[in-house]
Amino acid sequence: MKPGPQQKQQLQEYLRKGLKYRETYEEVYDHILAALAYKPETSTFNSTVNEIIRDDFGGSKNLWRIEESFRKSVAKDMSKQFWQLFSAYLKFPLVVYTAIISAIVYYIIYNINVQPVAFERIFILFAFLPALLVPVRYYKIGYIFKDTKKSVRDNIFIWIAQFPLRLCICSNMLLLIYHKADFSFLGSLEPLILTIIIVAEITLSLAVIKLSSAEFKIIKSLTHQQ
Amino acid sequence: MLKGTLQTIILKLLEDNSQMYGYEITQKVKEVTAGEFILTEGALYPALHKLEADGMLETFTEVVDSRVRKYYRLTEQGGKEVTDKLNEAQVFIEQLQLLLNLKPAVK
Repeated sequence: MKPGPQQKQQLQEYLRKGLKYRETYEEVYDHILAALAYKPETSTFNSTVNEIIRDDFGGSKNLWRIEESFRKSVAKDMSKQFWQLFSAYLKFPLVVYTAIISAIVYYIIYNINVQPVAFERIFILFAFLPALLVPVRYYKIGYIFKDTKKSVRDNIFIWIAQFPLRLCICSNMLLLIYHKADFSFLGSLEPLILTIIIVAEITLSLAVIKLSSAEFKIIKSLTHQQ
Repeated sequence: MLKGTLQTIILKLLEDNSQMYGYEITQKVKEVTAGEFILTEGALYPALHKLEADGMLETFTEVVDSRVRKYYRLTEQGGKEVTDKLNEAQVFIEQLQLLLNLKPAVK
């Protein structure tokens, strides 16, 4: 069976309503069209599509299970990538850069009299930078100018990109609870501890930036193909 | 189908065919088993996605007939895993044959 443009449009609309993510939509749409090519013209288009969905996907109600399993797999994969990127800064060869950054940060803290509130601003800056990648990603993927379906990678990317910011908000909440929001205690902390905290924030942010650059490559390859 | 065997089948098919897309895999299974094995109930895609998340498979997309087609292929880790999975399946089948008296034990 060879569907015409109107039938393809009908199928696209049906799948767009039933599927949440672009990736599963594309995969299911391709599967159905590939399967249709081997189906005889004896039956109607609608009943043939329903037959394929029933036989190959276990029915339309099962499609959301496929999406859910896909979402979980992608979340697991992206979290693993993120922690690998982060832990790479503690292993050779990137540990050399970590050591250099740590030495610079330690030197600044030890030799220059930085105000406690300035430390807090540095923390917020490094926590906020990766979160800025979320709107940039949305812009690149076309959410602003094109009618693009939600990607399965959206939520997990937002969670990861906002992870340093969440850490920062949680620590600030704790400081508020314990009435230490004037950050004066930061000045009394050992330079080594402050260095560890700042370097950890920098490496977390760098891991998010690296993850997003891999994301942008995926987006670029997809937009080039379409 | 026994739990875990679908993953072995997918890995073996991708070892033999280098790259395949979802529908192609279902058809290949049907073809090789003369229609005795049919991948239904949406089992294929969750298995493919899991193998991808576990680092056994990688994907790439191509535009075919104005639509995006997602291809799966083995990663280096997946290539190594095929041999282990096939050995496990071989041992399991031999034990099952012995247990069910489908063939006499070879001494």
